[in-house]
This record gives sequence, structure tokens and C-alpha cells, in this order.
Amino acid sequence: MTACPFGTRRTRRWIPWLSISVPALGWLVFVLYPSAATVYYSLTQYSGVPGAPVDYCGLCNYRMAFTSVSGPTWEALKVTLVYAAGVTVLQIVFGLGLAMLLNRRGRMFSLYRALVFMPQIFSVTIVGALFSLILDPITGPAEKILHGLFGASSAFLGDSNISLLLIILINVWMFTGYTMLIYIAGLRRIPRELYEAAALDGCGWWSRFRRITWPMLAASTTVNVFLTAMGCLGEYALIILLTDGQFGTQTIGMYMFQQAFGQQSQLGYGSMLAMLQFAMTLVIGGVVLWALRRREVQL
Amino acid sequence: MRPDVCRLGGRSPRRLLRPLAALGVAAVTASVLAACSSGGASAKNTLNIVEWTNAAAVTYTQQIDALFEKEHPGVTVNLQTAPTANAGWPTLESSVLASKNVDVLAEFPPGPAGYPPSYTHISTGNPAALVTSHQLVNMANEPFMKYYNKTNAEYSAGYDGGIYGVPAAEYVNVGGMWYKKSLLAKYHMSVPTTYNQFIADCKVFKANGITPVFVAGKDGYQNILFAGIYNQLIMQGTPASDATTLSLNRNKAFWQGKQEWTDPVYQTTASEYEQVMQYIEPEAAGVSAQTAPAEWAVQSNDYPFFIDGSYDGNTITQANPSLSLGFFAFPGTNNPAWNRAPLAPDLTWTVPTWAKHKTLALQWLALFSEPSNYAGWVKATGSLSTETSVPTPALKWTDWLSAHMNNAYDALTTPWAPNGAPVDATEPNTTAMQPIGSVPAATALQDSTKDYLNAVKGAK
Repeated sequence: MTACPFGTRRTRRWIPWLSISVPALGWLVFVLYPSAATVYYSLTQYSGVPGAPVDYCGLCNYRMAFTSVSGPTWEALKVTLVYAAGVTVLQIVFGLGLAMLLNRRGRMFSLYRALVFMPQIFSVTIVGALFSLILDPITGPAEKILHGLFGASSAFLGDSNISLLLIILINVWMFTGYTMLIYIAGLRRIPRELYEAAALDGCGWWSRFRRITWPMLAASTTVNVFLTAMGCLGEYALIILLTDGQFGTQTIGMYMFQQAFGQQSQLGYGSMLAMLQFAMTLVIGGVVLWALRRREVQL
Repeated sequence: MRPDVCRLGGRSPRRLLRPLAALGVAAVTASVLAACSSGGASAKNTLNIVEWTNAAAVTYTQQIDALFEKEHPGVTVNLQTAPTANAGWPTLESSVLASKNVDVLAEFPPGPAGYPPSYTHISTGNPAALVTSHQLVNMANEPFMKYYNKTNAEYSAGYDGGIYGVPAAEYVNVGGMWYKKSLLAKYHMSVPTTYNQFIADCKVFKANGITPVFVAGKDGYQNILFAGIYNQLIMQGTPASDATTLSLNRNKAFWQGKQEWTDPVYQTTASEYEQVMQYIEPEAAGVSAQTAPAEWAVQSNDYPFFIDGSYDGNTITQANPSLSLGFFAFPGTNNPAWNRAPLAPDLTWTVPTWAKHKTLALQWLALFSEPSNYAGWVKATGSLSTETSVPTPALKWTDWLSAHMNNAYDALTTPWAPNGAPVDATEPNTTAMQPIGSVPAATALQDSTKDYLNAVKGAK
């Protein structure tokens, strides 16, 4: 029999199992256990303080969440949907527009693309601090510009009428570069011949966009819509920094974070909110993916 | 022919692997031992202190740390801080508690209301949860506790006969109001002692083109005013010594539905609040608590009043050292004798029972508590003194406080609310209330009542 560090032929059959045991162990410890713990904690009253009692209470947290239709959970769900829809639509529009504008050769266009992509690499903390200073109604430049141009003033992030819109715009500013890059990759895969044939047929710009560009970018749109929407459904970091969830900006992710990890934290209640967030993301993600895939096939 | 993957260069790989494996084991063992001998030694003598960011407090803590290191050669003090804004502090606190990597931990004290009765089924958060799960050292018998006012220590960190923290700081938070002495003097005003006088002063300022009141509305600091008013109204005529009992009875009355946010005292509060808020900076809703003290300080000729706790004294004076400023508690009633200073215990040092360096932690607290060191702390932070032999320092803005400390009382706590209750159940949401928000005050009170009753009903 051949001397082999991996054992005999009989023992070698265990090698694949041994090989997957390490990642499987990692998955059990870092994915399955926290997920199962979240499900369990959502059925308890637990502050999250290590060593503090974990009191099983069944569906008490779920009951409390839906005690009132005007309660914070419903409000947070509504805000999350508006936020996700707003960011997704605007990011697709701006990302596609910029991709079409900057999908050209030349050093300057490379620079422009880099500039548009640049906010993506900034830390959320930096972006939050930056816009908090820009939008400060006493010392910020935005107030001075608004006052100089229109003689008006605004509390900006402290104004419930516009605070959510401002956060949507800041998010779009930060991540549009990413959407643009995916669209540029999609644009470069569209055969030139299609545009040449359309030009010969006398198609105008709008007709070429509607009949060639947009349908051919279906796969890129699927990726962009799915990634953007999923990212937004769990958003909280930017909101903490800009408004701390005040002024009608409390998303379900933000509410969950505050309950689970904020001052006077309640991990049990926060876990219940995480479960709701998970269910919402699963349903919306599934529907969005199904609809976009179906659209791809139809196009 | 199928190649034998187990043969390497004609030499049995097992013969190669054995020395390699031995070498590997030796290397790993050597590195582990090296880590244990060097890093282990330093970890053994590193005292981990964690507190939230308050520039003056952090600077003074570092001075105490340096002194401690000097007195304990070979010991290193590692200080970790995080701002209370943007969930920084709760995140750091959770992290060090989960990793059990802290020896001295700053906490906001729970006070007696932090331990709701069992019939409420409320799961307490930090630090009450640490106390009830026996994870904080009982310091009642520590020698350094003799320096502190016992009543004060029992109020802020007492539970079931023990004292689970060192009450290092105390401020006036609810009702806190800063003022610019020069602006008041310019218009021949003194510190307002009644509600009507305050409103009259605001009218004069407004008539002269001055915006009377500044507040960090983005972070809800207008709530300091709302709570300040009802504290004065509820406590009127009540001896300071009865504040704790009154506070607990109020919590019980709320839970039993015998007191509601629509009761007359809160209607009066809302009415007074609305009047004062007519005089605030119009865009105050966008002003953050982090920038507000400096923004107020540098505008010497505007905003004579600033709603904020006394803990920001040093931040304000650092932003504008030449500013002549003062501090008083908002007069919520029209009887000067009833308008007193509502006190709020603040930073409380705790030591976890599982702390790796418990002895060092207690030695550090002993050093901190020495009257000469504590005197430096209160001077640096602007805190009211909680040590019996150390007087509250005479800073340029503490004259009103010094004159009113003898009848100051412990501020009322917010009613017990079930876990997950809407934020306005525990107190009307002044961020949603006009003029910061769009909801009329009367509606906000009704919303709070409805949300509180619903939450309690849901919990039962």
C-alpha cells in the first residue's frame, strides 16, 4: 500500500467531510447560532446585559409591537418602505444618467467617473459628520446659500418635512457611483451594431434608449435595484449620524438598533424587530427579484 | 495509469511532513509562550477604565490615571471613551461588558426608579440589570465611600442596602438654563426668579431684535425645559427630602392609571412650554447638541438664554473664555421659593464583580476619591460636589447654584414604561410637539396618554 499522509483509501473518503467541517463549523458558530439566538431572544424579555436573566415571554414582544397601528413599529416600517423606494428610484435614475454621460473614452472621463465613485469609499461616519456640518442651520454653508439666494432659512435635518428626503439624497450621493459602474459595465456589453442598425432605421435618441439601451440593461437593472433596495431595508448608520431617527426618519433598522443596543437597551425587543426586518427583507427581496427576473425574460 | 498524488519527488511525504509538523508545532508553541510572557505580563498590569466622552472629565481622568501609574509602578491605565451621541457610548459599553474587558466602568446611575416593581414585568436595562444580576461590586463598606454624601450615594447607586457605584458627578439637567450676564445687564435685568419674569424678559429681548432662547432642538434638548417646568410645578411646596418618595408614588400612579399626561399639571406645563418656545431660535430644530454650546457661546450679542444642563459649563467657557455667563434652573412657577434646582446624579464609577483587576480598580477609585483629587475633578468638570468635605467650586457661572444648593431636590424620574413602549409614553415627545415638530401641545399630551395606556395594557 502506498504511504500517504492522507491515509489509506478507506480513510481518504473522509477527507471531503473533514474539508468542509471547518467552514461548516464557522457557519454554525457565526451564522446559524446567532440566527437561532435572535429567534429565541425575540421571544424573551432580556436587556442584553451578559449575565442578566433571560425571561421567556412567548410572543409578548410581537404583541407589544403591534399594540397600536400608529405605534413606532408601523411608523418605522412605513418610513423604511418610503426610504428604500426613494433611494432605489433616484439611485437608478442618477446612476443610469451618469453612466450614459460618462461612458466615453478619455482621461477626463476616467477622472469624472472616479469623482462620482469617490463618496462610496468614504466612511459613513465621515459623510454623516460632513453633512451635519454643511446642514447646520446656524453655521453651515447650506443655510447661508439658501438665505443668500432666496432670503429663506431652514432647519434642514431638523425639519420633519424634508429630513427624510435629505437623507435619501445624501445616500444617493454616496452610492450612485456604484450604480453607475454597474450600468457602465452593462452599456459596454451592448453590441454597437444594434445602434448602427437603429440609426439606419432613423431612430432618434429616445427611441434608441427605449428600444435598445433600457432592455439590454435589464440584467444590470436587476442587480442595481436588488442591491440598493436590500441595502436600504437595513439602513441605520447614516440615519443615526444625521438625525438619530428623529423627525420622521426612524427606519426599522434604526429602531432595531436603538432598542437592541441603545441606551437602556432591550435585546429581546430588538431581536423581535430584527425578525420583522428579516421577514420584510425576505418578502420584498423575493418579490423584487422575481419581478425583475421575469422582466428580464420578457425583454 | 493513475498517478499517485501522495508521492512527492519519489520520497515519502510522510517523512517530509513529520519534521515539518514538528517544526510547525514548535513555532506555534514558541509564539504562544512568547505572547503569554510578554503580552500576558502587560495585560496583567493594565487597568481598563471606560467612560463616555466629556472633554473636561476625560482630561481629568487622564491626570488621575497618570498619578495612579506613578504610585503603582508597572501598572498601565488604559482609558477608553466614546461619545454619548450617535449611539457611540451604548455600543462601547455593550462591547466591553460582553468581552468582560473593563475594570472601572462609568455608568449613568439608575436611581430608585431604575428598579420597577416585579408586577410591572419590566426588564431593566443598564446599569440596573448589572446590579440585580450581582455583577457590580457593592462598595458600601469600601473606606473611600466615607468621603461621599451617604444619602446622595444611596439615591444614585443604592439597591437593597448596598451601594453599587461611586457617585462622582451631579448636575442640574432638567430646567437647566444658561444666560449671558452682559446681555441681561445691558437691559437692566437680573436672573428671572418667576415664570412671568422670564417671559417678560423674553419680550424685551425680542422687541430689541434679539432672539431670546437657544436650544439644541435636533437632539431634543427642549425636553430639558418641558421636564424642568413640570418638576417645579409638581414639587412646589414639597420638601426636598420628599422628592424620592413623591417620584416613586408618581410612577406608581401612572402605572395604575391614576395619573395621566393629560392631567392639569401637564396641561399647565404644556401651556408654559409653548409660550417659552415662541422665543427660541426659529431654526433650532436643526441645531445639534454637539455644536450648540459653542454656537451659543460665540454669539455674545444674541441668545441671552440657552436651554442646557450644567454639565456643559466647561465646553461653553472653552468656546468663548471671555463670555460672562451664568446658570440657573428655569422658574416654572410664579413663586420664587418654589423654583429650586432639580438635581440629577450623573457619572457613577462602577466595578464589575468579574473585573480582572478588581483590587487595582478599587485602589484607583480610592485615589480618585481623595478629597484633594476630587476637588480637582469637580473644578474641571463643573460638577456639583458629592463629597461632604469638598465644596462645589466657585466658578464664574456657579453663583446661582451655590446660593440654591441648600433647597435643591432630586429631579423626578420618568414613569415606568413597558419594554417597547413608544418614546412618548414615558414623556410627551417635544420633538414632535410644536414648534420643533408640527403637533400641537394638547394633541401631544393626548398621544402620550394613549400610548402609555396602550403600552401598559399590552404589557398586562
